[in-house]
Amino acid sequence: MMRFDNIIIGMALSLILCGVTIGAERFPPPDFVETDHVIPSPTVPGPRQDIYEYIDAVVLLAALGLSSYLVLRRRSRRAIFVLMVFSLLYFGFWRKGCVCSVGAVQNIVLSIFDRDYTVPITVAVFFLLPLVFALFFGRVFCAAVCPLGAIQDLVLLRPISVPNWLESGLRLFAYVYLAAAVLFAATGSAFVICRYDPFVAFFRLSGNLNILIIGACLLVISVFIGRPYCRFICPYGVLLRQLSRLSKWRVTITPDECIQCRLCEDSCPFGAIKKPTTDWPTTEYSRSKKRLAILILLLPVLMFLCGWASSGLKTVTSRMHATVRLAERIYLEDTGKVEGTTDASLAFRATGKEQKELYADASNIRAEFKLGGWFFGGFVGLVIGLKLIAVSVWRKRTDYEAGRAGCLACGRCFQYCPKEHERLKKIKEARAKY
Amino acid sequence: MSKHCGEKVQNRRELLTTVLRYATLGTLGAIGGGIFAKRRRLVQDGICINSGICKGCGIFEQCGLPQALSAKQILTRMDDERK
Repeated sequence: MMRFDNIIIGMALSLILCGVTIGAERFPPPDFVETDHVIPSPTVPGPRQDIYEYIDAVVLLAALGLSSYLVLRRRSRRAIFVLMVFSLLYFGFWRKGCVCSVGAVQNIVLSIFDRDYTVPITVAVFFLLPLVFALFFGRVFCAAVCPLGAIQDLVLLRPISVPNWLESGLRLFAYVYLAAAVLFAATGSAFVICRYDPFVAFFRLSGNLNILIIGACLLVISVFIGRPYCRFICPYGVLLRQLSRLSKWRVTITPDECIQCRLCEDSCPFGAIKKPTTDWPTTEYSRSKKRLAILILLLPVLMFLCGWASSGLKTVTSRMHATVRLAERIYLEDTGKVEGTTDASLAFRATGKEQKELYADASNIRAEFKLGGWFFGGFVGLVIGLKLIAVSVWRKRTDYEAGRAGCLACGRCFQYCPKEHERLKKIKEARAKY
Repeated sequence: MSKHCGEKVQNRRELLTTVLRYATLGTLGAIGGGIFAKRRRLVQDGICINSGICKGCGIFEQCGLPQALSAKQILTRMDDERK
């Protein structure tokens, strides 16, 4: 196993070094002799030739197909691990974390809301393919294809379990993050998922220091808590979670019938194994029924209150939009409340446009944020309400099961099942025979 | 009898899941189709499909990055063509 690890690390280092060596600019930058303007070094990778983008899409499709096979058919943790390392090297370090399915959500949203904006086909493929696979095979994308998940999984050395109430509460953040990302993308303000991607700085070997620190902290947390970004922050994970509930095929801990040996009980570092349940006491049952009825009635009220509160924050949230920030800056400069100018305000004055026009644009954007705030708050209220309702709903479970939504299909639980060992033994014997 | 009812519930749940699965698949297909159709329309209309890159940037007019220079060239050409 040690030799196997060394080979993987050696391959990783070689690929990274190759990537750095062959990185070259396709177009020479212009020379600003007259103005002495120094071109700042970009922190994002430049555009690539179309053919490479199509190759990425093909690699994604192949990786998803292979991941589905390894998780559901071959049931091999080692093979899943190798594919995960490949994905980290290819989609992470080689492709520098872009295009990624997580960030593609924003491009798709902007494409829906902006009449003149569209996304490259590759971005659409990166957004849609993992969702389609989740509909049929569960979260095979998280298992071995997502580089963000892979980098966290590699450092998971001393997993500790997170209590259910804390896990459920922290997971709410991912929904809020998704709603915020959709709001800011729909209004054309910012792509917050990309801006605050904690691991992309590692992939690109450059980036904002604050984000680098956040990424490093998340990696340190990942040593003890399995994939914290995937479980509590990832906005794309929210979509995969919900779609994998509908999956046609899913991960099963045992290849046969569960014998309730309890060996797998604590094997999942992500807390995705659901234990068998006992019958609810009659008193608890009737109390929960009443609580459920009250919560269902309160759901619209909660949605309205959250929507109202969010729409009231339009002044703050709209500042994410460059036009609103510029309008505020111009206003402050014109009224003498601030001294000096910024690059943006200078550029605006150079265009000769009227302030009135700018203020009108900013006002329209604020109105969009007010409307968007209603949807954002309504969604958050709906999620909170549904989470409370879920507590009052009784689900009967007779065996140990991998939770449909929470299971990241990493395959760690397979080797804990004695039935799995029996299956592997039978396969080995059959192979020896033929 | 109870087993029979249990099977019925299971079947009902499976049916609902299947319906939802294919409805979601249809929605994803519609999103994909919509994106493809929009992209085609924008290209046919000669609208710069890279307008999103520099859109909303406060220093676009002054920016000297290659992407911005390229976008400015495209926008100027489009303006000239419109005139």
